[in-house]
Amino acid sequence: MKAFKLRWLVLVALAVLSIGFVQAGISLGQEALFLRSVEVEGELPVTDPASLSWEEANEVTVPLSGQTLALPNRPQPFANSVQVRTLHNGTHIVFRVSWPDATQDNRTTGLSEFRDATALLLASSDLPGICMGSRGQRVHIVQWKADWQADIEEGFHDLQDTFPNFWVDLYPFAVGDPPYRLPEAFPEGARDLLVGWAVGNPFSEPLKITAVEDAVAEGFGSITTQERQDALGRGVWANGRWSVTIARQLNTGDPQDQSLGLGGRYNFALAVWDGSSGDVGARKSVSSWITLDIPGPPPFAALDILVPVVLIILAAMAAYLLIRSTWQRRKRD
Amino acid sequence: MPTVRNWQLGREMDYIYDESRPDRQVSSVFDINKCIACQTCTMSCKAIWTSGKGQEYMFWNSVETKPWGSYPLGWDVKILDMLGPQRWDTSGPSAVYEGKTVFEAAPEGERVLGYLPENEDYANPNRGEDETSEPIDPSKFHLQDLHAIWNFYLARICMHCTYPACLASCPRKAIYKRKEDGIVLIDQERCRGYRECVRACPYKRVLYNHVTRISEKCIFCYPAVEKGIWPRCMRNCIGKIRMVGYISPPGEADPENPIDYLVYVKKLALPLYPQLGLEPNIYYVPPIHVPPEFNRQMFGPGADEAVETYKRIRTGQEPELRAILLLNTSTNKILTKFRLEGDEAVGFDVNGQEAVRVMLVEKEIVRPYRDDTVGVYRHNIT
Ligand code: SF4
Ligand code: SF4
Repeated sequence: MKAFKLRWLVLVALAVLSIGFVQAGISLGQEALFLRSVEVEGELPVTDPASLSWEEANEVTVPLSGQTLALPNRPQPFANSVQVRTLHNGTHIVFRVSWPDATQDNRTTGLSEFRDATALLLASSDLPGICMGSRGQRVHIVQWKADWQADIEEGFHDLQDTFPNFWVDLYPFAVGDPPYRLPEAFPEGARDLLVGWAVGNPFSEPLKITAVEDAVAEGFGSITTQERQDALGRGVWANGRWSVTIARQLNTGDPQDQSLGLGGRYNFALAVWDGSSGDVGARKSVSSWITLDIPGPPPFAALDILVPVVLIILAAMAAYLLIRSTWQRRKRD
Repeated sequence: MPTVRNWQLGREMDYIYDESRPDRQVSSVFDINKCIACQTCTMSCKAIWTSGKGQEYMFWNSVETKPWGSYPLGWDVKILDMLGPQRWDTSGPSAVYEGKTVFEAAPEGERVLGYLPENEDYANPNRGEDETSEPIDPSKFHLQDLHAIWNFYLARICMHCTYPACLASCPRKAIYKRKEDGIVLIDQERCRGYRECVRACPYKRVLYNHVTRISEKCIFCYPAVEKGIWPRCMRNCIGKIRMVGYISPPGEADPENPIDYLVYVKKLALPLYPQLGLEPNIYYVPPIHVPPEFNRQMFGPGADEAVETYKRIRTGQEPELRAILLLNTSTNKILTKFRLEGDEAVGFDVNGQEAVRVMLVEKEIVRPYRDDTVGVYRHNIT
């Protein structure tokens, strides 16, 4: 009976202690990765990865591995790690992802051209850490694409931009003269043979409004562009490195987005694609889940401190009881 | 990985999904011996489906001159080379493929063995047209260099495979096979331009649109098929080489169904590169003047026998086969049944109604040289 009580006490003490440690951000066995969004006043560097404001954010180095859960695979990661920072101003949040890449791949016109890209996954912290979510467990994805940005900044990268010697006299119903550029030479009725565009596929849209696709997924292969696009961002490629910002409102009001709030804690992961390695879709480098903290004003801040304190007190009490019972037993023996 | 039955291999094989045959499967037989490489099929398809911007070098139908021609460049030699030499066991009553399919040979981490062609590979759809190969009878010809003297024309469209590699490779299931007719389509809203299908289809029948930046493929003119009418490339064929119908599932062959009769009963029509493992649904009557090894590599171990059967038709020994070939030169309706009635062949459409009736042997009437009623000589008397 006494031995039973003793064992029970030991278990309680260990459990309480470990919960306390995890809560305090020190996991047992391996170091958990935390990304804490730093609050700044005023405007955020939404489209400026080089802004001085980034100095205020902590840099977290996130290790990458090859995507090997779903077919096709990318057995080895493209880069060993990426650097991530995040800032928020109480209403909006911005992330900056930066990674080494010797080539700038921002075209997808040719058959063997694939884009450089990065995506952030945001999910509620009670979700089990399943890559890309699972049925009924939705993750919110924002993906920045180098070719979408090039289309916006330089104009739609048309056929003649990749194949300058192409000459076609006529396309059905196109207006104007060769080379019949998109979108102006193809008014409404002339789009039927540009089927992706005609049916509204965002990848086929020549006039893009953002380089960041706002999407949802419930498992591998299920990524779907959202009706409402709420994310912005911009990448800069310099000295063999991409630095990419991705920004959105904390609370977008779109039920398809993962709503973020001050004092909230979320599951966060990211992926990187290298176009010239043929990365596309599941051929990507991925991080494991990271905890994203968006610290905010009390009462949440108070709670953040209160919970570990209470747990530590509980653990201390359990330890005291344990020691006392051992001591009493020894005394009786 | 699930195991499925591929009757063309005579065995089970690995496939990424369970066996799920459609309620009906469209199918077509191309008689290679009749193709004249006029490219009318190619252009009739291009005119309606692929004349948009971004589709300049996209041909859902192409006709290549074998052995040298190919579209995209080297598609068949490349995949055969990647697969390596493979064997058929022909000792039993029906041949069994002992080698690996593109699914079974998939490298670690991949769904299908394949490769992504280059832009330029599509730039010469007519390459090798009318180039000849070895002389059939060396004694008659002086030229004996690389350009030998046999060749044939291989008209190709998407095979609307029973086990499509394109569908298997798409990680987002944007490709689907219609339950009602087995036509394989790419959902133009779901496709994100990954090009996994372009990489995986060994026949290279999925093509990338350079402007919409997603993939496209032959749709077997499903709006026509839904009305019981042949796809456009088939209707417009000048050589009348094409026949359209529905093929029954293996083991349920209906000898009155023209396609079943050609494929299962007489084994005259053979799949193209069956060893790849897709169970393609476009069948070919192999060319009868080509080295048998070449035919066997392309159409499997049944090629020699099919050539012999075809020769018998020409000598009048196969009236049913002759009936099917004739009926299909005389209609653009999908025939589901055929019958011999005396010296006539009759074909029935998808509603079971008589759609076409032809004589097995055209009557020959010889008229006198001089037409006395009008007092002239005739140029043509038969
Ligand atoms: S031929 Fe190619 S594109 Fe057509 S169904 Fe088969 S695998 Fe798909
Ligand atoms: S239309 Fe008929 S004969 Fe002409 S190339 Fe095409 S398949 Fe051959």
